[in-house]
Amino acid sequence: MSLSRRDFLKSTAAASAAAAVGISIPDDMQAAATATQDKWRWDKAACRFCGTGCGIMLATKGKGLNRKIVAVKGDPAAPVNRGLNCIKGYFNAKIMYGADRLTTPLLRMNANGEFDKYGKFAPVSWKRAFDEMEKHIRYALKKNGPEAVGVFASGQYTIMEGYAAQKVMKAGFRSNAFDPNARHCMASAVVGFYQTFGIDEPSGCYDDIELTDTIIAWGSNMAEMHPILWSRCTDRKLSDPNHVKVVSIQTYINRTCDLADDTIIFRPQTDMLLWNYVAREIVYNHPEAIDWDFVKKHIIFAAGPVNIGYGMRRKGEPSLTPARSDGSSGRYDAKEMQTISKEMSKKVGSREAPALAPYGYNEGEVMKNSAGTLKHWHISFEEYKKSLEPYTLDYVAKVSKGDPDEPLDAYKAKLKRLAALYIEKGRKVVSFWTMGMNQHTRGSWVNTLSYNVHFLLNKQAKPGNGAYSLTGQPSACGTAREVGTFCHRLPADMMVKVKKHRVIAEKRWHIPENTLNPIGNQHIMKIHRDIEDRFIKFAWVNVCNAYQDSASAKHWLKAAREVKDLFLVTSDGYPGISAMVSDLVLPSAMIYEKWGAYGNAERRSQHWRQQVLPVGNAMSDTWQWVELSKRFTVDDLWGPYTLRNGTKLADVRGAAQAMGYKGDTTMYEILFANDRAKTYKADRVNDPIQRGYDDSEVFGDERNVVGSDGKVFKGYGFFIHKYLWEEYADFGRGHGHDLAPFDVYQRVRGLRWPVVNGKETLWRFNGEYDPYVKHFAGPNADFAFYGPIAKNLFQGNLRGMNKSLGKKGLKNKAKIFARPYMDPPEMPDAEYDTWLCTGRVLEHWHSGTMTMRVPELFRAVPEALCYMNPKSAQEKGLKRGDLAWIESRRGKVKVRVETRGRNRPPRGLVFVPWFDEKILINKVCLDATCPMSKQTDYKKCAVKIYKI
Amino acid sequence: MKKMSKIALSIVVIGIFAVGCATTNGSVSDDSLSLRKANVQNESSITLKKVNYTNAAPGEAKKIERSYDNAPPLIPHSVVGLVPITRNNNSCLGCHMPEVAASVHATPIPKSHFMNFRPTEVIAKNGKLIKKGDIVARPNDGSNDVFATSTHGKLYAGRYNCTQCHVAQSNAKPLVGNTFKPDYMNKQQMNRSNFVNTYDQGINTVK
Repeated sequence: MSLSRRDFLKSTAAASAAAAVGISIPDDMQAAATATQDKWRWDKAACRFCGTGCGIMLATKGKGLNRKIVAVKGDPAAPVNRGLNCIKGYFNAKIMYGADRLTTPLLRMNANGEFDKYGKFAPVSWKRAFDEMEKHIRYALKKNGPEAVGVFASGQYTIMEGYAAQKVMKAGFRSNAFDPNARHCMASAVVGFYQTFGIDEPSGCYDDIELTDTIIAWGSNMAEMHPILWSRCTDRKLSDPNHVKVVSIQTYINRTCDLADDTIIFRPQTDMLLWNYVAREIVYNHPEAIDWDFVKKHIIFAAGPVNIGYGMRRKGEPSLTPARSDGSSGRYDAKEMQTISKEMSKKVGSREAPALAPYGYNEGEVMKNSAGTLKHWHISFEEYKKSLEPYTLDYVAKVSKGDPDEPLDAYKAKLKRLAALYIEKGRKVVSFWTMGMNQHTRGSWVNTLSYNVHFLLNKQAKPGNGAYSLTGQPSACGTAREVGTFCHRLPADMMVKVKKHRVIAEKRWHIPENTLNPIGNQHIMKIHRDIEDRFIKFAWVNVCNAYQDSASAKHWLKAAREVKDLFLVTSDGYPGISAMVSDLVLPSAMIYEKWGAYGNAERRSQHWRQQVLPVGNAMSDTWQWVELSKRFTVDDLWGPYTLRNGTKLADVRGAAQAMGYKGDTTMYEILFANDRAKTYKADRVNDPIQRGYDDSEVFGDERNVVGSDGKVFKGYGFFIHKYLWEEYADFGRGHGHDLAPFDVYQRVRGLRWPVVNGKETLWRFNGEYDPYVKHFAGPNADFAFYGPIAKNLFQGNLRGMNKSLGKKGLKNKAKIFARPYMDPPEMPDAEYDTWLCTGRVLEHWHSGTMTMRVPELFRAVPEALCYMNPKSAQEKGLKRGDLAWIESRRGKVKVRVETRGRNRPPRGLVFVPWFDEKILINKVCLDATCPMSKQTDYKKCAVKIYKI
Repeated sequence: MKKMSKIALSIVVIGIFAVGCATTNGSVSDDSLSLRKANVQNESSITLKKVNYTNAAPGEAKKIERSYDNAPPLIPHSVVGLVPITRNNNSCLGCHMPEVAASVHATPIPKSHFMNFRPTEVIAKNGKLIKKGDIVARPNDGSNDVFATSTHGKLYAGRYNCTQCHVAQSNAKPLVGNTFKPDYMNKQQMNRSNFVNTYDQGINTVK
């Protein structure tokens, strides 16, 4: 039944909805509901958790300090989730109300009230906390320069927090030792985007789900990790079950497989074989499926070096020195070195040898690795074709079959069906992935392999068609990537190493030219390693849990406590593992205790307002950064430095004076309380956006928190969130990253960037939907892959480049890469006979800091289980419920064995999630990374499991 | 359920007390600052307590009060043998479909689950994305219509994966309390849902 617009306007919406489904609402019930509703205030917000970015509505009740969240519902107007949430989304209601919220700064002290690295935690004032931070930052700068001041940043920062932190770190401290946990989650996807398209972020949007015929999940357990997107996939599948096909490609059976037409269980790392197999099927056996018009017009072929190592520590680093005759090296024992040695060189293995043959490597040959590089060059289509030659069905099936109990023929039949689905003319296909392909020692490569298949078939950047990288975190795209809270990035895809980009940022930030540091190599694992190497002396954990979430965790936990002159700070809502090993713990306002914005995996920016006051003396991370900036002046920070590699940072104090700053002008005055900022008025009377809402940073609040100067904090007096948003957004406007004005987002349920002339962009690079296509390629262009990065390349073949051939431009074109299958650096052997994969479960978010404090979520999944094949368990003398040690070359933890349930691994593989503080599985995991993206591979290492 | 509330309440009280100690009594050791409650380097001292999920069969379990108004109900009964939910089999529906629920003492699936709030999307010949469906509300910004279309007694397929919102509960004792206090529109809301009547309340967020 359809309602006319007039009917709709006349009636209350609830009644009309009820009418639409044929229900009558009793009058008394309506009256009662209205009475209670009057005391509630509903407002919109984004969910705190995953990269899906669902819209929620929060109901709060009470006045001032007593205003609390009382209910949550799925926002029916939010296009992402249309009134539905997953279990975590619904329990946003409770995440801020754990009884052990941090309410005051805690400092390790001795009996005399002095800071003591080995003291117990005691409460201190904000002033004392900032005094200590200031002191230790000054020490770090003096000792080893800007590179000695590090921050573990986050893909869960609000956009404004990330931007504020970025300014203080890069403009103030001139440090690029600033890298987010999003490095662990999305970095390989980003390299894939940069290398393929020249610009970050997916070409598609979530509407692809409703518009496609085929959903292929590549190593992504969407049913648990992106439940609302999976709900949309389920709706699509079940509404047309015969036509719509779902394929689940995994290393173990999980809930995503429960909906699938086919489940392909592959051996860890061999997704690269599968992608190349599909490409080979197209190029060798179905060349008619190649859309040559599209390919010739829009695509070039490329290759890069293959001997790039595995992103582990390299010989010569302080903690690997000296090498000893017993096989140990520095702080790493002989067993650990068995794996780490592969970083320098390795023997080409039998599984990878056929794939490496076209690149000039033979089985058994020693491959000498140099550190990862982003370098690549043009090759011909013929060379690309040559790279695909080895991926025959026989080779691929033999090496990639992941379930030893599955017959080879049945497995082969599935691979053939997979290729056929991609190739079928007119069939729309979306390929989704997340951590499986990103957390991978060849993650950047496997990301590019996905686009190859879609490009050959002209099934990319079109409604219902595309290879689609889903993000893990709520603002990995919006904050980490777009704001650029990485060591090597600046806002809007700009890079610290590019002089032109630094100048743009310096101008926008009103800081002298040459202030910004051009060396951006301290990615998140490098920050850990630099601490262990006794180089970084001050580190701050922001909106993440770096000491629970990093692989080879034993080393970092140890270094945190053992490096005497390291001062480690953790800001958090609750005390987690990072807080435990810190020297100072700061109480942070949590998500709905502050204004904020997140950007999700379909490029949708969503804002919310502060709903309630923070607890105790907690203040937002934005406030913490802004207050810290008050402690440092031009003279303190902008003198000359010599970096580790000899690069000189100029003395810019004179230039600062020429700009009107004085030696004692604070970073606060320059970076935050500047003329532009003050144009954004604090006004709770006339501004409908601010009216009726708290803003603890702008106005202070009735808690009268005693601030960083020992006085009651009364607020900045200007609308700082709007200022940060608008200044940040200016970076991207006109450059393919356009964002709408702050106020617009307060009214709408998010908009997908680029937002051009008030309109969001659904399919990037497609002339039908993306205004930038016509801007860059003219009015008749159908596609333009206009990203500016790496668009002028040398030429060569699979074995290398030939500089004498010169460079060739590829304006508006994308790339198909030849990338071979290669083994990971650690694989099961006689002693460590089992693959370990770690990840998440539906009910818990990341390290469990929030969700383990929600009783309903805790009781649903109270501990991290070791999911194991029943036959494997039996072979090891284990049964369901037994306690066992799970041990790698790096460490061991206790786990409980689970042989049934939602995850059903094949023999030889176990899955242990990482949310549980009692089961620090990252002590067992290996910190090998994709050498190009520096993203850790959490999905595979070798372990043994035995009964306790 | 009453028992559960009492336990939860006492944990809340203990939790507040513990935090109070930390902030007024002076120092705390790092091991007490977490859910781990043990040294981060020492794995031998970790104890993992065995927990159990209820054995109560569907229809025989005592329903659990809603966590807050319109919160998804928790599963009070054993799910052994009922999961996984697969493409071809969803055991939950056998008892919870409204037409049979009462007879087997199951919570009936509410009316909201028989509505599709997502418009149908098609790409028109001119390439434009068109959304089809019944518009039932429009927030005051005018940009995000709320659609609601009856699924005519068939479960909306986007809600087919019951376990993405409804979870069973073990007897594990929460490690720390939670001070959230629900507010129900009326007493009946402690045990039922009326999202179908209330979904659009408050959608005009900027006045």
